Amino acid sequence: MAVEVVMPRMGWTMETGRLVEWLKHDGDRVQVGENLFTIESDKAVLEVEAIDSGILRIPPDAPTPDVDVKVGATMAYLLQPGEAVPWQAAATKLDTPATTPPPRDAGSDGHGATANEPAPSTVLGEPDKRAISPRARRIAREMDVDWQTLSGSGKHGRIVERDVRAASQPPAPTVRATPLARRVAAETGIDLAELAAARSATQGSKHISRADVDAAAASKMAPPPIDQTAPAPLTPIRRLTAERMATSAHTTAPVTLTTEADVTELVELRAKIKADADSAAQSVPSYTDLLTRLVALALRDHPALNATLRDDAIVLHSAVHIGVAVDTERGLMVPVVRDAHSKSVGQIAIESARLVEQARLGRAAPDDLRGSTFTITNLGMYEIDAFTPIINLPECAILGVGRIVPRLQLINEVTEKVGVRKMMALSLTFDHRVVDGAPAARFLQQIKRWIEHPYSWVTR
Amino acid sequence: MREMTFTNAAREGLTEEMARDPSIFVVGEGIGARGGNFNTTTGLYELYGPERLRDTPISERGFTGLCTGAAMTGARPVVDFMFLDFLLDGMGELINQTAKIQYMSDGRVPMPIVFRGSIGIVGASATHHSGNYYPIFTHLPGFRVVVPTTPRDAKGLLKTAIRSDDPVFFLEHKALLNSKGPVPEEEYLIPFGQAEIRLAGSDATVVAIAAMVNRTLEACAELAGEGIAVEVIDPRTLAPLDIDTILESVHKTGRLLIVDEDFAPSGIGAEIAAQVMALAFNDLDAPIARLNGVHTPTPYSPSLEAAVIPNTKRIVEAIRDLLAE
Repeated sequence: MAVEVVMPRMGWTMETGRLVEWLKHDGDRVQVGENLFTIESDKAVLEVEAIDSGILRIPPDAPTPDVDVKVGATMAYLLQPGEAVPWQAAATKLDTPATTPPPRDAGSDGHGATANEPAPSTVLGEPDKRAISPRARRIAREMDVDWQTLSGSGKHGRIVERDVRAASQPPAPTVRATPLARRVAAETGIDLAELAAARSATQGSKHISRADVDAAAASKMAPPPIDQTAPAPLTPIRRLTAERMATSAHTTAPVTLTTEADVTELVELRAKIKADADSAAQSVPSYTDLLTRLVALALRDHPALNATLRDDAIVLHSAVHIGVAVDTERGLMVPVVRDAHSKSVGQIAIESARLVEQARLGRAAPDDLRGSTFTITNLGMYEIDAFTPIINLPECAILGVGRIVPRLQLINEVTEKVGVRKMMALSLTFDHRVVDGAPAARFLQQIKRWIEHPYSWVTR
Repeated sequence: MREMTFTNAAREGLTEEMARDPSIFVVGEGIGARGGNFNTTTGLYELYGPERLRDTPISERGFTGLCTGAAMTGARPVVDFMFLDFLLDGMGELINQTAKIQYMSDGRVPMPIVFRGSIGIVGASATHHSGNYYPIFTHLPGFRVVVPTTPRDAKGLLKTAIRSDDPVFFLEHKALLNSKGPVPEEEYLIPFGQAEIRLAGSDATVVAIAAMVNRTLEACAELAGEGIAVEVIDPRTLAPLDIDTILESVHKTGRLLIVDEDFAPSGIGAEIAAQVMALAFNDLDAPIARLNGVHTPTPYSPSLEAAVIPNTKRIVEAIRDLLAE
């Protein structure tokens, strides 16, 4: 009995999955647990494995790569040897004996395959819509043009080279312009073909005059319109990010507090850890790792910032799961360091290195990308100081980390001693629906103090 | 550069070679004091005398065998058949002896012999004086087959033919004999197996044989007025055939027509088409086309004769058909 292979639901918010690629091909024999295809869903690329053994048969109308597939939709079938494919009759015909008796000389195996093949056209001059010259086929392959959809301009509708080339690029319209207009266009660098295309909509195919070229040259100085590139379809990640950011911006009451912390001691601390770690060949915690630990501990003291607004109740989370915003080629991802309050800086460093790596490769598991209770976003490497991060719902606050920058600071007000200190801007955005300004400020103040005096928390 | 006729240029080449190498001699009917029916040896009798310009009776098989024997001993005969049609009487000697002796002797016996004769359909010469026949010789292993189309090529290729140690057919189309063209003063040779692009173009390739080169160039001049750019290739030698030049052109144009006055079945066009299909199938944007003389003995009647030869109008039509494929 045919076993359906369906698009799995990999997370509760998942409605569709985008097929990335088939890892097995039509007709392949597969065992339970072998990977069949990969999908992209909720910011992760996942391999989907076979839940049964059999021969994989992919119907002709099966989803192709880069197509969104509804959860539960049939992608393929796993069949037992000899079992007929369960799709339409046309395909069935090829695998089962013909309904009409095969010709006597068709062989004794009973498969009337030859009887089902289309008879070669014996009538010369009969149009064949899919005829294509060898050269056109080669060029279609080289230019990545799907010639099956083209209509041919050769004899009897044969697709020839010019048809493939025409399909791969829009035809260049012939431009009618006065000689003076041509000269001025050449001097001012105006593309007459572009100008003609822009004008044809409004003014028909009138000759281009010098005045038209002058006008185009003048407007060339103005900034180009922003809608010049063809729209690119949203990737699942972009779509999800767009939805979540819009929801956050529309539903929260965000307030951003900014302050500056003296990170000189933290920098020294990290330098010492780094020196030790290098000699012991251990991983070195990043500033984000240090801040993950520090913020997790601070949140234990300030549970109001580690909370979620749910209907008419505020849920204070006992555990602290820190989301760390990561920029990847595929878009923004937020892998989650679980139970950061009960892990050492070293453990966090190892775990976040793994999470970030997997997120960048698109291989993060769904559970690694959800369930955070507070998020840290660090733009310091781009020389950003303060900014206004958007709250990652259902959390109620997010900490934005700015760059570390050396500054001339007043160290002692009485002695008027000044010195160069390393400073870091901190931006805390909180949801005023859930938490008030004073508790949020106290939380930020504690972070600032702990950054300035690392000994007060590294021992905790 | 000076202008010469095809015949005079070829004769200049023969004269230079005979002066250079005393083992070269000419055999044929009326090639002595008469200077040859087509003036192929005019003036040479006065220079080199009856020893090296041997008039013969009408005995093609006899002097073909005789000259084959002379070549085996190291002499360099030029056998002048006047009309190539009469060489057919010597076919047994040619195929069984001349073509095979180098192979039979493991290369120890050379065969430095040139068979020259006029070919082609011109001026109501009727069916015994209008043959082309070159596919017969390209079909057989051992022969070189040369079909020059310009005075310059006639001289340069005849000199190469005389210096070749293989048997060479030097075939002069009667329609070209009085055509004039530039010929360099200084000595030059033209190697076998190098086609000449007579006209460069990108829309279609036409390989034209012998006199059809000029007919095709006329047709292309007409089409050029409509913006159709045809590339015209003159193979110059049919064996060896410069297929590479043809392939390069087809790679550019995707379309090939072979224009040949000779008959289509088992002809040069069939051979070129088969090679191009085998070597450049993916370059072809249209089926390879051939335009040939009508497959019939050549009529004597001038109006019927004109009907069997590909003319400019028919070549224009054939190119148009090819571009419409």
